[in-house]
Amino acid sequence: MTDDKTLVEKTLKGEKEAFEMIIRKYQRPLLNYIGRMISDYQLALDLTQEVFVKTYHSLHMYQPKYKFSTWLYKISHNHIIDYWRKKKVDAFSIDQQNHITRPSLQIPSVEPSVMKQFEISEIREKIEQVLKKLPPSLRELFVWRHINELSYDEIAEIKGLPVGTIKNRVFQAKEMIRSILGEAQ
Amino acid sequence: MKCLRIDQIYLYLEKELPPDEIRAIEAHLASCVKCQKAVEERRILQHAANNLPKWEPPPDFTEQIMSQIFPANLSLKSILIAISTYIGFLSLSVVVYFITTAQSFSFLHVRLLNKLIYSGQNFSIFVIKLLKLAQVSVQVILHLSGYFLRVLSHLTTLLNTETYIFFTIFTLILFALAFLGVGRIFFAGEKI
Repeated sequence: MTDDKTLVEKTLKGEKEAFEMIIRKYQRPLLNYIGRMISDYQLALDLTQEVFVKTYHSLHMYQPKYKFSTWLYKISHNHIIDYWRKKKVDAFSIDQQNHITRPSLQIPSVEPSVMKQFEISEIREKIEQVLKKLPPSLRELFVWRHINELSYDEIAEIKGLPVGTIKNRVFQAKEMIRSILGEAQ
Repeated sequence: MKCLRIDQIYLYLEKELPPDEIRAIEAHLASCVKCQKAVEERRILQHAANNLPKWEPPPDFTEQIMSQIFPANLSLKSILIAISTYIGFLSLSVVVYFITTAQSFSFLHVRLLNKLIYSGQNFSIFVIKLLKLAQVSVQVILHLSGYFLRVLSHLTTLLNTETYIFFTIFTLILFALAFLGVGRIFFAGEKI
């Protein structure tokens, strides 16, 4: 399979088929990322289309020293923020962490067993619901890690943050999901 | 080893720890029920999180995006097809009209000819009226400019040299202001 950088070069030389291959490769991951961020399938399709159009028109600005996928996720991230700004949603919260209370890293002496109460399919459904309640900054990291299956290094590159910080925030997101699931019982 | 931290549990489950640390954790887990439960709890969550259903795009999604980026150009072939379809549709409508109204083609021919002559007459009347209007306008402009020139020559004999110079400078300033676009601000409210 042709690598992303070659596909970009070919697209810039005017080969439409090369960009079609890029779309085929990334349409699912981007739809899943954008979809989980805005919780609306139809709207996610529209925004994904817009991201690809935007990407095509800014392809000449792509610097091959960065991974193409991380550049594409950065464009998507900015596009979601623009969309929220237009909708007057608090777009800045996606890049802020200050308002999130840090959970304790120690296991409490008595910890209720939340997960064992449910079947695995039930947990999946509940996670989908709880995702909507997570702060956007944590939701985004969770989606990148567990739905888009990005490595911590890739996420760190997109966000421009140290890998350790990203790991901690992903754990925070999961602990928050666990605690919301526990409260709902 | 002390009890595990939550971040350590996640790193252990994601196999992100060095082998010696994994061995130490496993040794601790063998004897600590509290940590065993905590690990099991997060293992289930981790498993569910890694297996969330994926959203699927519609089958023609790629084509939709491609058509947005590269809109299809109209080829000569498609234009010819469109024109011939239009002509075909028009002919068919005429045939259907005559069949349903039981009229003859010669009747249509006479009616069309009459319409054409009538429209031609109307159009030529309109053109003649336009030409007359243009003629009258030219005459009015010629008369007005004659009056203006007569007034000017009269003024030059009446005014003394200073007043004449003053009016000339004043007129020049007015022209300059008009050229600079100041008039736009005062009369149209636009900013330069």
